[in-house]
Amino acid sequence: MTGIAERRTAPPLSDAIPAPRAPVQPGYPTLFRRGHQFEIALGQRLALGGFKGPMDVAFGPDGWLYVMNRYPNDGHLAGVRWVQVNVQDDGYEFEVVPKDPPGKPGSTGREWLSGLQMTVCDSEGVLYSADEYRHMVVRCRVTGETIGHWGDPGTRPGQLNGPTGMCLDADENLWIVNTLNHRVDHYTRDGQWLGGFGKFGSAPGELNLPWGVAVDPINGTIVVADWRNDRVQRFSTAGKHLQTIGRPGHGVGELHRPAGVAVDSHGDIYVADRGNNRVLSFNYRGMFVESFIGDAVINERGMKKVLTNLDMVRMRDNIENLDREKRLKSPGSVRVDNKGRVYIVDTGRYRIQVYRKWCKVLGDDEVDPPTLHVDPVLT
Amino acid sequence: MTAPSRTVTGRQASAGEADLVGHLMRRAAFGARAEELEALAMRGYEAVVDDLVNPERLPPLAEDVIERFHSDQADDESTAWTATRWIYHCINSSRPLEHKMALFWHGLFATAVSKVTNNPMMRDQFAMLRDNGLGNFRTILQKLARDPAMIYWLDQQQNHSAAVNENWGRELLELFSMGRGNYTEDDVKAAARAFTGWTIDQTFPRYPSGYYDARFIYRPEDHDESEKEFLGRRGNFNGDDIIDIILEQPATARYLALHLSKFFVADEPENAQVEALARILVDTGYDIRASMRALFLSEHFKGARFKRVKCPAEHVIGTIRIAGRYSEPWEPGIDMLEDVMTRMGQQPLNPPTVEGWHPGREWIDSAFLIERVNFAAGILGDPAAPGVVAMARRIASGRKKIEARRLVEAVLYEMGSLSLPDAAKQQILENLELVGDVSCAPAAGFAEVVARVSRTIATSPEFQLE
Repeated sequence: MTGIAERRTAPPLSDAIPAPRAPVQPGYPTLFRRGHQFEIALGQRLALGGFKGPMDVAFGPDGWLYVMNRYPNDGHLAGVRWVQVNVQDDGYEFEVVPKDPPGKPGSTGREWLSGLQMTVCDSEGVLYSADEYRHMVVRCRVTGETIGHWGDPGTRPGQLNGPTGMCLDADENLWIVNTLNHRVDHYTRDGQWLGGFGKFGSAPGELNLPWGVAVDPINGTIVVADWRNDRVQRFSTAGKHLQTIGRPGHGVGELHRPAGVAVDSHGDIYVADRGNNRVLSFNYRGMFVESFIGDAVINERGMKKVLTNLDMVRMRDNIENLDREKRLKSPGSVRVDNKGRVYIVDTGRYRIQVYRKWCKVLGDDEVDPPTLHVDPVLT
Repeated sequence: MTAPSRTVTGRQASAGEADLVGHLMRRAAFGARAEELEALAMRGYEAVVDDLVNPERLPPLAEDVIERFHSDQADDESTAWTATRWIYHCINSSRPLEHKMALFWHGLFATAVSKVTNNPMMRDQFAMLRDNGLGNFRTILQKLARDPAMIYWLDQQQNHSAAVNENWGRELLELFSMGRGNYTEDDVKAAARAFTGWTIDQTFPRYPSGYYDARFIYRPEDHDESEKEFLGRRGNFNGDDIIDIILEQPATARYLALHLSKFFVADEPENAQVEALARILVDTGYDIRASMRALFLSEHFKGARFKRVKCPAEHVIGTIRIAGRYSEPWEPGIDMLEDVMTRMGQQPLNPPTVEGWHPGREWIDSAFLIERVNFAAGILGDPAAPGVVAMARRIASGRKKIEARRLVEAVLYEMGSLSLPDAAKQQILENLELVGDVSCAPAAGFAEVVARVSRTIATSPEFQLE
């Protein structure tokens, strides 16, 4: 028996999920993968300009990262703010707290925003966020200037009911997850409804309290984190179900209460596997690729804070296993930028963990046709 | 108590059955409206008791959805949020006695976040009390002795063989099991020595990435292996031996029976009832499930209606259940209820001292009473509250009008088979200027009338009792 034959007949790993076997699609590149490398942890618990309740990040046209923080409503810090962060060195500039919302002159964002979930920034520097408690989309500029809000609460098509996930498509229109309506809806940036799809259920194509949404930049399809069905589903813009990714569970490639979702320029899908405290990546065919459990070590800002208190230094000196500090806790969102970075919103640990994707896109002349393969490629 | 005018379906539960089940649900749960009481009463009192003391027969309430719609609490930093999760369960769980027992044990083994300053540890202790609250008292004490929050709360991590700290040993005897007067100072010292080496590992400081839980560890090299004399017994005792000896003492059964009786039966329980419960505890080997079943089936319990002042948690959650609020996890505002209880003198997970809260009439000082009345009146005075709407719909069913006095009695019944003296009912009629017949038509604002009546009932002194 040859080596190739041996490998072809070897049983699959017991903890590997069955490959969905979706056919190769045009438009997606062939990658030589080297995996992801941890790059930096941004932010820390609210101190020295840190985070509290970070829910999502948005990429501003000015090159800054905007981290949307939703303070728990503890009566003191209730409200929302965005923090502008330099991705290169965790540099902190200023807070964006919307002021003077319509009809309430003189008031601040902390008084009129409550349940913001996810946020995006358009090419003009306008931040859009879904308020899941007030069933509306709020808008402000990255400079803090309030523009307003839109949204009609309700359950009819086009109305908002617990909006959460949000992304921009190539035309800078918004796809918004209408969580309590179990739908995904399409709007212009000023709130005109363009259509949508989805209904409650667990069958393929049905949704149960969906959360995150992303547009595949290669073909414009819509990828939705189907939160309570523990899976991700891909739809055409017309709402046709195209693919189911992941399955319920806690094992390799399995999902438990997925939150945010993102698709990079190669078509790779990243899922904030919130209930499992990790992020998973899948390729465009829905095959599990990689797991991110967190690698953050204390950063410069965090170290400065700890060094102000020798008790904390002594405590850390007695901790047997610092690995716990690296790990993700309830990641709420994941986004990718156009430079191959993956931003994991480590909501439970007040930080953003950033990874960089290392891969090479192979041209047609670098890839042999399948008939010439000498190693087994399972298709 | 006025008999129910009608039931929803099937056999009509008698007024007495609904009254009794209403009493049971106020004590073993957090109250129920008549609609639920009738369904329960149809099954029979004993069957309801059996379901309450065997919560595993029913599925637990999913916790993921309440977490999902408060995703900003993912850091698990806030004990207010731990309390809110518990409140959500108390409102909606089909296994309410689990959560009521957690409150009872939390009051007895009072541990406060004001010192522990670590919510994951407090959360884990509260979950332990919930999960074991109907188990065996021996198991509960054994888990308590290993609980990181308790260890830190009573300085047990500073209890070394070479330098004994008596705090845990003393409170174990004085407040958690036997009560004063049943042991000597030497017993306290021996107990403390037996628990040397029972400690926790070092956890992370709050900065930069928040709290982490801690874990119990036993350090044999720090344990006092010498002989100890404890409650007349002599030996090289370790912590579990101390618990075993404590459970052999008659004082332990009486102490636990007294606290269970004060929490579940009456602010001033009768001695005979306490002694009877103590015997049951001993006879069942401190099986709390069996003891609670016997307690709820006893005539002492059945006859103790409205003999307790509701603690703030019972008052707030009971009122919310009547109003039908927060049945959906995405309804904003539930996270304010912990603060409401705090203003009434009972901040969950933060009792004032290791003695816990002082129940009974101490809940009713002038400031607390104002908070209690204002809260209940505000919640029940809302004609759009789902519970108020449901009460109005049931009272209006099959009739076009109702005589004013009958309306007051019907609202009392719908609020959970409550009771008021005739003079108090008359006072409500006069305050609201209700005379003659009241139209039950929605267009005539019948829900508003029901809300006004229920709000006024909520302001009565009797509403403070259960």
